[in-house]
Amino acid sequence: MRRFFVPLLTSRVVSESYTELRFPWPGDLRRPLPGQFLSLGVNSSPPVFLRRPFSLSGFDGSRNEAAVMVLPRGPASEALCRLRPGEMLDIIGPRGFPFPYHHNTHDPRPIVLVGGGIGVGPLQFAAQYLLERHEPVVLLLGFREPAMIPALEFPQGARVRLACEKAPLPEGVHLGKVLDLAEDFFDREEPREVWTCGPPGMLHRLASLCLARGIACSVLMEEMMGCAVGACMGCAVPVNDGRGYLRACTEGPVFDAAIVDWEGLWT
Amino acid sequence: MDLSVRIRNSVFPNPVGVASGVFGYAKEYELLVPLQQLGAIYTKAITPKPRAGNPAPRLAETRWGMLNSIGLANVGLSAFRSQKLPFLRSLGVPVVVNVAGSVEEDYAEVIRGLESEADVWGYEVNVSCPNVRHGGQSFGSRPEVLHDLIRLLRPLTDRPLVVKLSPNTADIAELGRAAVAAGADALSAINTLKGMVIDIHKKRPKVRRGIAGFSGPAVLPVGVAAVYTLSRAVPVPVIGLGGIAGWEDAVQYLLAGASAIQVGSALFRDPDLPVSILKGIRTYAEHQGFTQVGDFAAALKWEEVG
Ligand SMILES: Cc1cc2nc3c(=O)[nH]c(=O)nc-3n(C[C@H](O)[C@H](O)[C@H](O)COP(=O)(O)OP(=O)(O)OC[C@H]3O[C@@H](n4cnc5c(N)ncnc54)[C@H](O)[C@@H]3O)c2cc1C
Ligand SMILES: Cc1cc2nc3c(=O)[nH]c(=O)nc-3n(C[C@H](O)[C@H](O)[C@H](O)COP(=O)(O)O)c2cc1C
Ligand code: FES
Repeated sequence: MRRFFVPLLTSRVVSESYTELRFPWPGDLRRPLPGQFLSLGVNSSPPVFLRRPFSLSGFDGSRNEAAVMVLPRGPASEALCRLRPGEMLDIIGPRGFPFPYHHNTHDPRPIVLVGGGIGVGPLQFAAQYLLERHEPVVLLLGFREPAMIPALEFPQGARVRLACEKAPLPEGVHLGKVLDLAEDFFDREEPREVWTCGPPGMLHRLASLCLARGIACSVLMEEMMGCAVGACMGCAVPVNDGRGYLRACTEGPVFDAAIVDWEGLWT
Repeated sequence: MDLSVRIRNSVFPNPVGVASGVFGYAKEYELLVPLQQLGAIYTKAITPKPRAGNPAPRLAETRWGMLNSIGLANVGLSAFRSQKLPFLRSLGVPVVVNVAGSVEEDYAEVIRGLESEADVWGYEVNVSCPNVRHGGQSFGSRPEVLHDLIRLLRPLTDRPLVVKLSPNTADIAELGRAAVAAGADALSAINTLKGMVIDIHKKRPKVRRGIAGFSGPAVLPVGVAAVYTLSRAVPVPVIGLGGIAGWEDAVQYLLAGASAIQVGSALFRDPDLPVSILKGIRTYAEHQGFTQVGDFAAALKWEEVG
């Protein structure tokens, strides 16, 4: 982890609600892993005070380029979506523990990635990372509106299923929630494990679903951050394993869904 | 130019410190801040026992600032000594331990527990935390209660005792005088103000505890006024903080009467601030022909009008 300033290389609008920003990754920094995030200092109007956390949405090792996928929600994220190539990014990272990947070529069961909202970026990175390691991957994504559905280019081999809550729907997209897709999948196939990121209500329901079926589930939690480096204790996530609170920026942002105290989260 | 600051029997090498609660135990910022260049490190508040802190969510952003409701989450005295102090000590930077508690004896226990430890520069007595139900601010809002607390702590140590005051009070000068009369070597101001932000869609506060501590650039004038008032009320050094987000803000504090400053929550945004602020202070002092920190306060061109 360190602070670095790099120019934006490309800004790509992948749907009405997602913009992917690519930028060079400093050669001296460790390669980022799926689930890790960057803390960005953003100049916006109106101005914001705190830095903003964004998950990595991809990493291209051959060109040493990284990306984040931004969903505009307020001043900082909107300013990021308007940033032009050549303009500078103020980055602290990479931060946090990644999704818990253990290489296992003997296990034919897929790792199932489930999410929506801000989860699209980190899950895209997870899918890319796992496919590069020849792991079986299933990607289940949900969207509120058809116009939100991003044009993602997944490498060969990913089994992708999309859900959307409103019609008219593109070919093959399920009308409904991503949870329907997950439940349907679990009825038919046994996942090795589930990795998820998205709206808090979805995370909680998916976590309960996995717990009930004995499926290991890792959740990428979105928490308000102050320092993003473990100093301020602001990003506390309540846990039920006796440790009280853990810091999303340091012990997280990926947590074992079984230890998260969902009632204590105030969603 | 000599920018060192003397308090009681000890010296800060330069006037730019990092405030309690934003810097953890310093290790967290090791890769982002050149720690050796800091004038002082004020630790997270230490209490006798570990504290888990307040329910989540604990943070919210405000216009030009933030709310925090951490609730003094800290590792407790024993783990601070065994796990945190060795790293802090290795830096060779003045370590000021921020001390908090629910009752008088808590403060005394922390100070007694650290007296045998080498390289603790001094103590910052936190009587101004708005985020705990008991203690904290109740010591910092009643002059006679504050006086009794400092009188109890004074004999426990020969190290500098800095008393950190709250702006949530009717008369900060009276509190400052009470602390100094009981033996405080310096005052620091300000701690956070009480604030609340309501999410109009969820129709509830953004922070779980509702009322929280307000800090950041928005509070700068409150801090400058407190330091101006205190520096005229007491004969001891005043350490200024609250809203400092650039060297110009730090210079405002020094002109108002501060002998040193602390960088607080603006460090979250820009970890280069301590270094750039010290540089800015130096350059400004050079241009003004100042040779020591005291020259700033003496340079304020203003007399109060009726
Ligand atoms: C670990 C993590 C990973 C994330 N990954 C992504 C991602 O890949 N893509 C993406 O679009 N968004 C991501 N987010 C969310 C992103 O940080 C917020 O959308 C962004 O901060 C909004 O800022 P704003 O100024 O645009 O909006 P605001 O109007 O200021 O805030 C909108 C909402 O964003 C969240 N937010 C605001 N400030 C902070 C902060 N300092 N820390 C954390 N959350 C904040 C709050 O929930 C708030 O209600 C992630 C958040 C976390 C914690
Ligand atoms: C997240 C956070 C935690 C804090 N914790 C403490 C603390 O433990 N003890 C203390 O005396 N002050 C604490 N403070 C107050 C700061 O030290 C400082 O007085 C206040 O934030 C005003 O300065 P600023 O506007 O520069 O941030 C904390 C502030 C923040 C933002
Ligand atoms: S955001 Fe400060 S500890 Fe996590």
